[in-house]
Amino acid sequence: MLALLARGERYGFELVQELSRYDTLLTSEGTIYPLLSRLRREGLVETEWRESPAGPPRKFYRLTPAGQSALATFRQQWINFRQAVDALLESLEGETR
Amino acid sequence: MSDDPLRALIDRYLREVDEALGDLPYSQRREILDDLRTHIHDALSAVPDTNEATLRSILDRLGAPDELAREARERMGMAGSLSQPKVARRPGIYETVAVVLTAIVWPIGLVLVWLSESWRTRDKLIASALPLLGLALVGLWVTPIRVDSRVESYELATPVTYSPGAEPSVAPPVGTPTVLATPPSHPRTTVERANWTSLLGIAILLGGSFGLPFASALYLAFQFRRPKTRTLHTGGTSSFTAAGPSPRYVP
Repeated sequence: MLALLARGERYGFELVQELSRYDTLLTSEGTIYPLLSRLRREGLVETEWRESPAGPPRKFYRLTPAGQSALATFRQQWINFRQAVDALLESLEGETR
Repeated sequence: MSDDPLRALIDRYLREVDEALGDLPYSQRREILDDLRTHIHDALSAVPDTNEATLRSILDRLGAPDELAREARERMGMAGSLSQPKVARRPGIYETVAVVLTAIVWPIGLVLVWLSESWRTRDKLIASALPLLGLALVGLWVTPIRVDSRVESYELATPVTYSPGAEPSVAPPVGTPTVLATPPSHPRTTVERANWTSLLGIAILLGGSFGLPFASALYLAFQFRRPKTRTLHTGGTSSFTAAGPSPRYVP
């Protein structure tokens, strides 16, 4: 979620559409709203109401500096984790051969 | 034409989510429901043909109300825990002493409370306000009573004029039987009022100097446990996956 928002601000429905392209990420689309709400209350994300071309105003989400640094941390942790798993799998593969 | 059944379907869905979210604070439920409603509107306006089938598929993709509520509760339940102190604590000697002292000698107790991290600032403020309120009440009560006492002695002195044999100049001490013995109802009410005010005075003095500090200590004892029992220990791992993208995420 933070990574998506790092590419620029979005409103809720846009986020759902982008996430649903990686279809394994989203079991039920509605769950992103509690998540967004929590990120907002933790100060990682901020919201702004904007007029939309048609229909009611939309709530746009944007990363805060705290959100950016959290994203950087998560990304690093994820890379470390992936490398550890890759290394483990490769060594196992080497043994079976 | 087809607007009404669709609206009814949306309302029913949102009501079910709301019910399933029952234990969340109102503001959080409100926010989720508003977001979901906006989402449904956006999704409906994105499809060329709005009918019941498209709406149902949109709601399907949003998720079943109870499933949605379960995830929401998981995520909301940990809200704020990231910014709070990480360690799950039990009341230690320090906190116990602080609470007990707040009940007995609250100025010292409250200093200890303020130095501790076991309470939130809000709770510290509330706990400090109670004894201060007591002090203010006692102060307010004690100050005007000096002025009032003169007035009260006048009121009590007046019934003496009714009793025939007594000399009015020698006013009896406040609340003596002579006053009660006088037949008219008027003097009794003044005596009752005097008793009533002195009772109130005792209540304010006791409540202000002991009751409210005690209440403050009780409040602290109660508030201590609540925010701390639920911490990162249980939420830590899932908080990572919940806040960050799930493990399948590709950077």
